[in-house]
Amino acid sequence: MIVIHLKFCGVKCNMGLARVRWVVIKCPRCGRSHRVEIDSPGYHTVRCSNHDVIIYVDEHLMVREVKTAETRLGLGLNLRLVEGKEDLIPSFVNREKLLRILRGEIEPSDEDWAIIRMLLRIGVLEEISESERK
Amino acid sequence: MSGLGFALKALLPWTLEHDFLDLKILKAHKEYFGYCCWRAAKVLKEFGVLKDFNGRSILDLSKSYHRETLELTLSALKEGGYIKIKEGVVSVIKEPRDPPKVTTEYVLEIIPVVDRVMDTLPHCLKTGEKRFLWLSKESKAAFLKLLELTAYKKIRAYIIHWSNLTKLEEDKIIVDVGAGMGLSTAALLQHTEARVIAVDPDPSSLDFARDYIRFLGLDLSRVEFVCCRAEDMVKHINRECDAFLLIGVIHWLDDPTTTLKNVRKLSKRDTKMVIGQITAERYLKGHLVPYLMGAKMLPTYKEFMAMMRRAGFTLVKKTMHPIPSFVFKPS
Repeated sequence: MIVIHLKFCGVKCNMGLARVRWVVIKCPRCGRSHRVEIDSPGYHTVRCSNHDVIIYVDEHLMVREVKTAETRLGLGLNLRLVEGKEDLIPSFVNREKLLRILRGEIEPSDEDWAIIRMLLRIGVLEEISESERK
Repeated sequence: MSGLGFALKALLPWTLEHDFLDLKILKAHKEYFGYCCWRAAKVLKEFGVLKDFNGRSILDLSKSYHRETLELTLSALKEGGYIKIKEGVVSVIKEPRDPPKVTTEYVLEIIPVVDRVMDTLPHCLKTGEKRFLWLSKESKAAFLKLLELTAYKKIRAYIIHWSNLTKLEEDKIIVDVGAGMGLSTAALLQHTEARVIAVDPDPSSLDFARDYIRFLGLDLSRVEFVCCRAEDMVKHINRECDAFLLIGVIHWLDDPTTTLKNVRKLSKRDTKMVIGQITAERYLKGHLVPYLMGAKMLPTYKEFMAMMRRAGFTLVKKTMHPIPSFVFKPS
């Protein structure tokens, strides 16, 4: 299907279909700015450093609420690299990919889970406790 | 390859046999020893221990410091040219200043580990307590860094080929004694067709090994994991095996003689025992790092050969490069 986007006053319209709006939001935790494409009302999540920014958008695609939350991985694990052990990541681990997984940018594959388990066993990764998350 | 490189390769046949080794390993050995000696001297200087050594006899020092650790430390400092020992008295002859030049990536890979481990040397010298035991979660990552060193991987591959373990058929069994986190097991899976029994007393390491093999995409069904001390493996492996592989294992064992006797009990007449084992004569100066992580003292070549004879093995083949490696058969 070919969708033609028209840009008008910051709002893109798919011809005859849903509206799309670009908004700029500021992370309440760290102050970073994010430009986000909004195409539907409800909650939207934006990755910000090691946490998420949650945006609530009303039916007019207006931002009503911005809050932050800890990043959660697919299987409900909250993980981070142990401080001071970054240089001990084994050479067979793709560092960039690991960081992206930890930031929640990509879902880990079976191989990645094997790596996560290995890194947990050797103390390079650690789980973030419930209390720390709060 | 440069002309000199080609000539050296021709002079060192072990580099020609397979494509696994390169001449950088020789350079890496030298640079690693140099760095370890410097780091030990530096840490000891910072803690005032080097100053304390100066002008004291070894006999006197062994009353204030842990004897075994002292022996290794003095060996490293002497090799590094930081002290001299004349008539049993230690004199500091050089202060550790700038770190020695390290250019090989094999050594650069593990400098953070050497630094971390060496920081525990003063404490070990004073108390004999090893704060960086490899079994602790705290140290495992550092230990793995040593094991997965590129040069070490090449050495494993070389030993497997050199000893002709590659010729064993797929129904044969190789026991990987002291499999640890599975690096030697993975090498056996990669370079041979045989089945492998991986023996290690640490369940967490074996779990790691499973994931490591899975991650490498190797056939996990070819491996049987046996969680027990090598000294007790006769109770857990109830069949005769075709080969045993022990690379850098002897100095980690509580009771090497019992382990070797166990290997003998599980051997057939034509079973091969392949051992890669560094000995005290050449490698003591670089042994501080594994020692501080829990390894025992290195055996001398003579002690090692006597140990093998007592266990009932005869030497079939040996090479001293890249590390001393041996193939034994039951006597």
